Amino acid sequence: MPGVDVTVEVCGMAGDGTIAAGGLINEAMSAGGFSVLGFDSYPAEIRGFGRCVTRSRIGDEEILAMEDETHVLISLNDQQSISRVPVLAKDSALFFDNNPPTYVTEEKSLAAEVDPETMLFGMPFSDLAVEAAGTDRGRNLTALGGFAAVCGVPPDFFRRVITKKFKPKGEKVLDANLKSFDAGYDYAKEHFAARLKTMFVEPERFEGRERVMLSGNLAIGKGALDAGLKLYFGYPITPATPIMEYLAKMLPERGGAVIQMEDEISSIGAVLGAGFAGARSMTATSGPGFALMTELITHGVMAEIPAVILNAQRGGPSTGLPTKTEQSDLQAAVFGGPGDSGRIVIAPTNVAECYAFTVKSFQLAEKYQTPVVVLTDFFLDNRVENLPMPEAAEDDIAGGNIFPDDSAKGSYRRYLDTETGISPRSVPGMEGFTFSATGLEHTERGTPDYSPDNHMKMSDKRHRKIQGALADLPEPREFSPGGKLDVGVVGWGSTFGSILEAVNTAQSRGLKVGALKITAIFPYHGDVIGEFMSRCSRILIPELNHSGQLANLISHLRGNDVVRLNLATGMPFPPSAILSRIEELVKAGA
Amino acid sequence: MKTPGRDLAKKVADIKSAKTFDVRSSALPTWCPGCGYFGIHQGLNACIRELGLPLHQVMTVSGIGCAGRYPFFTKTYGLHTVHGRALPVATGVKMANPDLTVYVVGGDGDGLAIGGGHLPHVARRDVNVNYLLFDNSIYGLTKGQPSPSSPVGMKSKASPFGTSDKPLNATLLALTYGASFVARLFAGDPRASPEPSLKAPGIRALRSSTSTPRA
Repeated sequence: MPGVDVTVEVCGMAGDGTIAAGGLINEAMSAGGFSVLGFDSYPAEIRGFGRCVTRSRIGDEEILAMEDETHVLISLNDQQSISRVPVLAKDSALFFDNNPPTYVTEEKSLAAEVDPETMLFGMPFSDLAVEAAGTDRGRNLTALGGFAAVCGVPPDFFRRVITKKFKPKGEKVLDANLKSFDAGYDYAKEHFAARLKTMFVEPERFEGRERVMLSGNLAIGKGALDAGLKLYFGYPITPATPIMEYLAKMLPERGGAVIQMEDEISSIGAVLGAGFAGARSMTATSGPGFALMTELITHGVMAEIPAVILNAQRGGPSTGLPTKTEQSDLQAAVFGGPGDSGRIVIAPTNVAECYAFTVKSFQLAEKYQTPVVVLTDFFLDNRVENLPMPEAAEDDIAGGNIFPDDSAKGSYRRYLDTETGISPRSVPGMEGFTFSATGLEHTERGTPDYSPDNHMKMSDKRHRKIQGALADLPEPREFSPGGKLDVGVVGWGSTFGSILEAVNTAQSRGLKVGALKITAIFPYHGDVIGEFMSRCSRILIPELNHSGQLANLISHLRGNDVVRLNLATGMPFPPSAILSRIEELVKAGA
Repeated sequence: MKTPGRDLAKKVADIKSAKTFDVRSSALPTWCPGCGYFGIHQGLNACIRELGLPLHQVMTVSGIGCAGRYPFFTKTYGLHTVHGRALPVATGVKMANPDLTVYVVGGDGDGLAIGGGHLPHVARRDVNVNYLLFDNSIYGLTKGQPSPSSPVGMKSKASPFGTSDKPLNATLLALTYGASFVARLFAGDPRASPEPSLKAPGIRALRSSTSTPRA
């Protein structure tokens, strides 16, 4: 029995309840024990004039990426859904409202546009909802009822998540929604009994394992809370805002605070001030805000102050594509700002890593007394995955501060040039260790000093310290049978899921290929990456940007002989594009 | 008139031994002889001493400019930040450790030009810090360009035909923004120390009119 791997889409106009229906599918299938990866597409404008599409990929093995093709389309508005026809798989199922049929034009309907092999399930969504609940507001749930009946999802899973979602709105609302769902379910059972398209077959899958649906942004917020975040300073920007909103709700009861500042410059300024005074603090932003922060980030590098900055990348440059995904801030994160200002940059590749890396970033910032940039992207921030509720280990939460001991009183050197470059750090309030920090080049005592030898020495101390952080950063992870490979695919961020899926498929077709996941962007494990590269006939680096920013950073490890695969589409990287490039490279090398 | 070397050394020794200067650090101010900032320094030091504040519980935050160097000249904790951003940084410091007494020092370029957008927000948040604006109506560190509080018509290398921009009034701005305590002081009168302000809660904006020595 082949495994379950189904992509379900809900498409409608804003106001049709599209996003709500997609969310219920994710929750229901997750509760059923499946792996789920969900990603919504919506316009940047607050009042959506455009269409809303939710995509849910559901499977019984770990889902790594979004798939190109859709197997089930639930259309709440045919005029919008016609744009989805090109992505429909050959034998897909289409659910649509057939009374009155929402014609795309006078002559053409959505049902007539799709491939003839598509199974059509026309149902009177609105009529059924009105009949059952007295209002057509639940017609999205009627549609879900039809989907559940035809595709083999036990109705209790939907009923349970509908109850969870609507109970807070009162019994009346809940009852109307449940009735709307049941009406669709019963109608489909009765009318489509002869031609069910069962996709979710294994009933034991529906026992339900302890999993939660979590977006990248919520995982980041929860990670920050679990790490003991005290102060969050930020400024609204897509796609990072949900982190601030989540923390605004959660942080006060834990004795912390969220302050919405007047801009991104003041946000990072306050984060540095709080870090200097010893509190765990962070900010989250996107490319345009990050650009404003760079001067103060380098101040954190120079004055050696802990700070956590999350950059949720979106399409750029400038205002760019606010609600689209891209990986084009890598160079800004690593190099942005005045001077040689090395700082730690880490990039998660999935929701679980969003949580784990956020937790770890506070400790890294304290231990290495430096700003730590966590790089995510729109796709990673907004997609939902179901996973066991992440928890942080004691070791990862533990404070990283190294304070001076009493023997240093009176002769305290804040920037003592040690072997590791790490100098014991005092915080205001500690008696006997007062000092002034500065963005000017300074001596071990912190006194401004521009002499040639001193600048060499202190630059070296700071860079030695950052390079030393490699010991605490996650090593690249290889996915391959080992040994010599025809093609090695190297990647980072949300694109890595697509890479892994493509490489898994290529391996199952007998190709000698492998993948290398890089999460420590700076400093990076040059020896490990170089060793992998030396075992591969060709190196492929797919990235969601135009110039290949990771390739720019690491291709020297391979004598610059790497093949770039760059997409600047604003969409998640399709695994199929990577797979076909792998196959081309293997063929060319044979 | 030049001060002979040994007289200067004696003066420094006197300053160091005098109890009245025990808030000062061993670093000599980089300000030009005759600068009004010496008066502010003396007044604030006296204030900290008279209030009996333990120096490790005091934090001085500055931006960039001649006033930006201030933290090096005291024995408190200090943070010399980047241009214009002392107020947001001080906001973070104070929120992280409310027990600290926080002084923010900066000039008119730092506080009214590049950092002019922060004062209203620190005021509306009522952050409990003391902001001392050293208003000498000129960019001193970069050697004499007009600042937002320079008078109309001021001639300089950067404004050879005289400035046409109208000056900002820092005191009026602080009052308008709703700072909980606003005072004008004169750097030539160090005894008019900022002490009374410490009894008021919330952001305290103190504008000290001062001067820069003319070359």
